Amino acid sequence: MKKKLLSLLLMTTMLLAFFAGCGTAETNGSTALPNTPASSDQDNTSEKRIIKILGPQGSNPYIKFADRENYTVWPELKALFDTYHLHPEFEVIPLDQYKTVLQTRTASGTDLPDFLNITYLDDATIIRMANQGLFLPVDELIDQYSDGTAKDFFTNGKGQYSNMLNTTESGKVYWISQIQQTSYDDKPGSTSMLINIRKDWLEAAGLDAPTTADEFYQMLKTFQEKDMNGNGLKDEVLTFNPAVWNNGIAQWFGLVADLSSFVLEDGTVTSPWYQDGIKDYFRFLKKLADEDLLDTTLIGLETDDQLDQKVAENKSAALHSYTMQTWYEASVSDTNAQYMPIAALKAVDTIEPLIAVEPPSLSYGRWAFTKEFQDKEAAAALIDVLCTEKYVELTQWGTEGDTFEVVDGEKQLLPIATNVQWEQAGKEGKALGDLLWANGSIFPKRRFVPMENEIGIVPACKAEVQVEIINYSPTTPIGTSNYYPVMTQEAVDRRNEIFTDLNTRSRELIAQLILGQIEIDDMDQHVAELDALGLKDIVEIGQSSLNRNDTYAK
Amino acid sequence: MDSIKKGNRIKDESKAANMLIGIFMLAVIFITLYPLYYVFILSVSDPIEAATMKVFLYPKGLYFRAYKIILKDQNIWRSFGYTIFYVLTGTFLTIFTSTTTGYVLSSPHLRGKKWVTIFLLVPMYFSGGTIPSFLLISKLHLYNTVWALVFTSSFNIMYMIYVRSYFYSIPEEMREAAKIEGAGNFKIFRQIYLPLAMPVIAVIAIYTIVNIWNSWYNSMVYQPNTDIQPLQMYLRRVLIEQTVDLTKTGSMAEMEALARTRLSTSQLKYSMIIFTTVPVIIVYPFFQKHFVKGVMLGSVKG
Amino acid sequence: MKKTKQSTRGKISKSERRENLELYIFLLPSLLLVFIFAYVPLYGLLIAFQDYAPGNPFFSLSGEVNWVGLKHFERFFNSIYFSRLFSNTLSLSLYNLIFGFPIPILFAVLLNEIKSNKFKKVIQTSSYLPYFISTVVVAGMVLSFLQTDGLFNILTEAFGGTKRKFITDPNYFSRIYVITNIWKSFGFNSILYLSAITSVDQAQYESAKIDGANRLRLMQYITLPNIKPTIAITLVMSIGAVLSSNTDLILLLYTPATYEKADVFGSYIYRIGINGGEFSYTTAITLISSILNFVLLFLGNKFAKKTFGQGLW
Repeated sequence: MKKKLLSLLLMTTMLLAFFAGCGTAETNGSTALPNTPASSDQDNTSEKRIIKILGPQGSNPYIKFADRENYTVWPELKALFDTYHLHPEFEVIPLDQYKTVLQTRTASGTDLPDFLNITYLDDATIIRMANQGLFLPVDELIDQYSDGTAKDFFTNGKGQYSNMLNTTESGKVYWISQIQQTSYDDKPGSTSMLINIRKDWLEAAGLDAPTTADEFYQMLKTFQEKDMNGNGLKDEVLTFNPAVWNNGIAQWFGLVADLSSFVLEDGTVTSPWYQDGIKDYFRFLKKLADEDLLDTTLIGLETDDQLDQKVAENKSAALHSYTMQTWYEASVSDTNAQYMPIAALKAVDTIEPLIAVEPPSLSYGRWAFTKEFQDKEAAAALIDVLCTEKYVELTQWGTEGDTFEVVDGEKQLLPIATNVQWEQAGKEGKALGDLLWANGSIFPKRRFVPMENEIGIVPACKAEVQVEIINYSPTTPIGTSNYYPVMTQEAVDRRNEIFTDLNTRSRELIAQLILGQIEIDDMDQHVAELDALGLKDIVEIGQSSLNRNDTYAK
Repeated sequence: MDSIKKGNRIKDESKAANMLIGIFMLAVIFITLYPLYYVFILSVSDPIEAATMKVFLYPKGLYFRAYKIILKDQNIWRSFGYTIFYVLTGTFLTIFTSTTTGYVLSSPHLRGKKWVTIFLLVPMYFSGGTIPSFLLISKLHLYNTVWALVFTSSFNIMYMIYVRSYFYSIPEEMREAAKIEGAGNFKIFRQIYLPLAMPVIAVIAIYTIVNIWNSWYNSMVYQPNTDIQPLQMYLRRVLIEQTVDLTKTGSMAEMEALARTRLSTSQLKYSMIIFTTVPVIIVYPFFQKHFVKGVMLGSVKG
Repeated sequence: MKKTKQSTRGKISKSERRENLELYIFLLPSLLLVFIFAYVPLYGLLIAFQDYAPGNPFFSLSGEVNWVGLKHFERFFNSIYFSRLFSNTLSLSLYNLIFGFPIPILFAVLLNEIKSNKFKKVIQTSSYLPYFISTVVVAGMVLSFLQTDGLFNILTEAFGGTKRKFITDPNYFSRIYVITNIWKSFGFNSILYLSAITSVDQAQYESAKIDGANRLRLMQYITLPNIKPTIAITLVMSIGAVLSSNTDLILLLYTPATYEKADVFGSYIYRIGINGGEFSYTTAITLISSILNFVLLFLGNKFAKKTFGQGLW
């Protein structure tokens, strides 16, 4: 009986192995996905220069790069490549795997493509690889071989800022990035992140929107006393994560939005721990915690699930998010829920509250050419393509008539190009280039967005606040990577050496201070601990990076 | 008379003990079965209700989108098929390597036994990391093939030790007797030890099946080709694909629609669990009989 | 356990030699697989003694490799967190061992007492289900349960206690972690013992019952001794894993407020990894815990030999 079982098992295995072996014979050895055969992109390879491109498949469930032939926008991009005599061959890896594939391929030096998305490698690794010559210097490529498009774009055009950020201390550029610029009233302007409070509760309780931190505290207290969610418990709380400095309330006390950051109008890098408002800030949060107005379990948790739960349970009186967010309302079990942003509440007489803003000129992600690629002219040509007006149009707007139309001289997206219509767009083959090749991404996108669009469609209470604060100062950036040019290898190594222990202690201190496990009055001692762990060094590193930023050159 | 009294007392003690044990086991069933039931309820409830985590007895607002998302892609059946292949090959090979090694190590005449044991134990504690393994698989031309997974799950050192330990409990007389009759080691292994090893083989089988069924890491590193990837890779991908970036949207309606998507996506992790567990529960009884009833080892004496 | 003596030292009989050859040939496929797939990649450990960056070779004679000796190890030992990480990793594992090791055994022994096979099967199947609930979901449920207004606090108040802050109090962490860990794995781990129990010769039970042994005695003198070998090797393996942890679970259950008792080697390495680029350092840390685990394995083996009369070797 058992023998039979074993032999049955053996036979099944061999059969399956046989079939599987057949299946893999075709795909074995070749690393391209079976549904992206090179032949479909082929016209006249003899005249064209081949570029092997490795990139991640975007996470859009309906619009997939593998199906690009079905989309109206693809032939246009191909035509653009044709005019530059370029013939790209793609290897597309699913996004969830991309980082691993990227790390293993680059670390082992095997099977390297010509052009690839290196965003998912960490700073230290990328800078080392650049110094070891793994990447072709983009600045040289552009200087020597560009037809002018890329040169203009990066020297005087919209790519100038991005190029500056990507320039190393020795003046070389090893990669290009995505560029997104937002504007308001034709000037650079961007969105921000603020504390959002329950407007419906405010109205039901007969309160005015708070303008000071103390009024905010009173508001939370009133919400609890009046049991705004009607369940008989005093569980209406502030739900946010103070383990990160970008949390809205820290900015009321004039604190910058990162462990080491700066005030945009000032350009001096510092740390919240060194700033004047630090003690008052913790006193405030501790007061909220002591009176159960703040959910302390959310401090520094790995996932958002607990916060989502509180919001869904209709317990979140205030949270931290984008000024014009509307997604939290849909997550609350109470259909009347409405959040409104409140900005720059005064907390300390002598301190100007800050607002944390998203950089209006975003440069993110990295794409590079590997040293394997011999055809430098083709490389420069690819960069040129990515800087053309046509590429921008295809990426951001798609094709006229299919995804956008021109109304009164202004481009406007058609409904099918909006996010709710992905499934339909996938079926009809009408999508923006952004969703097809830049979401993920195979190619870096360029996007120029006037904020008026968004402002025009959100509820009035949010739109009003956004317009009010668009020119507010002083401000601090959300994330400093968009202001610090590429660091030197020494700086990155030094930073990495310090950072884990320093950040661990910083986060611990935050939790312990709020929970009252250590004394706020002993702040000097606590800061001294952080100094011993290298806080000053981190600030110095940040400052020397910022000094190389043209906008802040000293 | 005395023995009857004793017998009765034992019976009474037994009854009380039986009840206690029975109640205890009912409690065990509750704490292990209910959570899975809870997961099931969460997976089919309305997303907002599920986010509150407060649906304890029955689902509120039936909502099957999470399952639809998983099942809508035909590729899931392909990954299912490949997973079955990996499970069968991996389990067969692991049983083979475990039983042969266990047999050899339990052999009293083996010289250098201690060194072989230590040789086997070292890799359980030390690993060279992802990159060297990646390089090895590449050099062996196994990268991006099914064989990468087959070979990497072909042995498990801990199970070799289990089998060895199991074989130690089989009396030496059996081996000696067979040898006297002129049987070689292969024959002894196949005809005596292997049949006796069914209980431990069943354990190895179920442990290996479950581990391969749940695994995805090796596939992530060695198999960029999505066609041959196992089920867990597929499910993880579905989860990540559905995770939406809310900050760059264009309209109110969009944002609201995406917010609902975001919530139902967080439910995906529950339906993934149900989807993964059900096949195992179905297959399990086949192995369970080896742990649940007594096995007569009369053949040992004979 | 009987062990036939080998022939006198120095003299190996021809038949013995032939037998050893036979046995080693039998062993060959497994040894090959282990050597190729487990030993060959071990050179990766070398980066713990280098300043490694992806793209560098692991070993080269032409000076491309940057050897730094024990620099990374020193760095870790000198970190202000080293002693805390070490003591947390150790204590969480020991708690897990002390409470978690006996439970699958007791469960298997008790399960064996159930008369109805059907009931037995239901219990047994149910017992391993928690193993399949992914750690993310388990942690989510545990945290939700332990919220200030969560189920556990509601029960505590109902019994007259005060609400506690379980999640942010470091003193509760070990309990939460160990109980969750045991719940998740006891059923799955008990399968090994169940199988060992069912292969115990029924005749032993019969004759003991005739001698008037009651249930407890049967467990004590028949069941347990028969599964002693299994217990012994599992114990030794567990002792050799004492400097490892269920890192995924810890990452999801801990917060900066509980780092003090919850931060272990694995979670620390994870946070280093977020920054990226510290491959040599994290390899060094892992190597330290592996070496210590291996040493503990030897000690555990000695202990098992003394207590159970047998060990791993």
